[in-house]
Amino acid sequence: MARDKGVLRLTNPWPRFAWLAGAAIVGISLALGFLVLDRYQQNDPPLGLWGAICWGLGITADLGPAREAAPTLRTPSRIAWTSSTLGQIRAGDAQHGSFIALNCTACHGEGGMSQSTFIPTLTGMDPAVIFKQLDDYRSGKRPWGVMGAIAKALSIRDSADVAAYYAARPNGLAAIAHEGSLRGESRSKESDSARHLAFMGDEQRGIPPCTACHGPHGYKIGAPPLAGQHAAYIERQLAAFAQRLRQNDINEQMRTIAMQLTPSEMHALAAFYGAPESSRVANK
Amino acid sequence: MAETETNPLRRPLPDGIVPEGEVTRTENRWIAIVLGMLGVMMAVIVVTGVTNALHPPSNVEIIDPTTLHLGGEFAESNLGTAAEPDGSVTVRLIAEQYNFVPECVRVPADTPVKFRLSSADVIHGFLLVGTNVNTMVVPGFVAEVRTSFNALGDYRMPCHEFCGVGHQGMWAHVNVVPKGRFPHLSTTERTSCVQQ
Repeated sequence: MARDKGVLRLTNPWPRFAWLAGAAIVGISLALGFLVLDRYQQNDPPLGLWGAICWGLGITADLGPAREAAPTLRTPSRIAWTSSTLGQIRAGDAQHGSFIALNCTACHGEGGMSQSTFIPTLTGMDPAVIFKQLDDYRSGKRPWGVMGAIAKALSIRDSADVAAYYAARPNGLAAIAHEGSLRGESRSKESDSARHLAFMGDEQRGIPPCTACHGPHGYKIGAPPLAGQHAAYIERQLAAFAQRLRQNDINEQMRTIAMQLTPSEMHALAAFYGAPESSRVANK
Repeated sequence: MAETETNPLRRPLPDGIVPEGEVTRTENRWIAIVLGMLGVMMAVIVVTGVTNALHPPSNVEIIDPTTLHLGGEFAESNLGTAAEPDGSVTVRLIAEQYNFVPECVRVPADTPVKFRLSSADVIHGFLLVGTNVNTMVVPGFVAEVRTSFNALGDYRMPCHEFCGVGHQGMWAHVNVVPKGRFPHLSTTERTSCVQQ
């Protein structure tokens, strides 16, 4: 009968014991967590009482980042993929862009299908890519005389319009990538190593696969479609990234990768992605 | 007692199956075991925390992941190893799909090192094989880890938080060199072992 005998009565010691034990566990945990454990930060003298409590709560404003002098600021681009930038690109008017694009045909070809191997094809290019590259030419982040002068003559709105125009052109890079012509390329030994780099990367050297950002496995904003682009253009850009002649990739993305590629790998990758002349004509 | 009789839930359970004293003893024994387990676990946390300097990453500094490259602490000119006036070094890294930048970090041995990382896109992981350096790199926050290296050599630095289809290609190195071979840096110089 002891079980129902005055569980709620004050003289029964057990409820009080349970509450006290619970409170003691909470209290000891708080004291250990806030006052003992986080006082001892590695490489630094133990923190004071309030410093330890703040640190334990995640408030580190007083410790904060080191305030040493920084080197001269170097930025790769003025573009950041914020929602306002994406909004500017989305607002592009392909109709207006088609008039601006008349200025591009002399080099980039009719409708963006470049006939010169050193000038990129723009047909079906991702609009974010064209928009960013035009701004980088405008700001001199991607130094190239001719394009710098042309881009300076275009407003941000014009860039978005011309980007929308080329993105909407049919039978271009996007269509080639969609057809999966990548896998149907030549079967030489060289292109097998390139295929492995493109689809698997090289995990031994810490090189991610091209397809993780340039498609079709994954897409990263600002990464252009590669299939169907001129091989000579791709190879030249890889070399420029590796030699840091071109530095307009955000967070050194392409510089970090291209630096680890050998010249022969760059050549093989460019040949792998670059469409042979015949297939490009067929795709026209 | 009359009240308990009328309430069917309060009705006393039939006694006599197990002697009451035995029940009490068993309960007390288990209470003691549970309290003992709690005590052991707390002691393990406290002892390893203090002796091995294991801390939950409690750094809450907020940063905009889309504009890291436009300026501030994680601009590309500020990445790499910086020398502090007190003789320690600070290493700043960006984790992005699918690279650490810079992909090779040089630090001196037997020197306090502070790693500061931020992610430009998704959650990445920062781990140095063979050390207790291990943290998540969450976009929007700065991850900070302090350590020092006693053994020279090349430490692998894989991303250990699945970050997308190129995850397997995402790893970098930390190269620990003798103090004497570490370049003398002015306050505005940064170093890394990326081959240019």
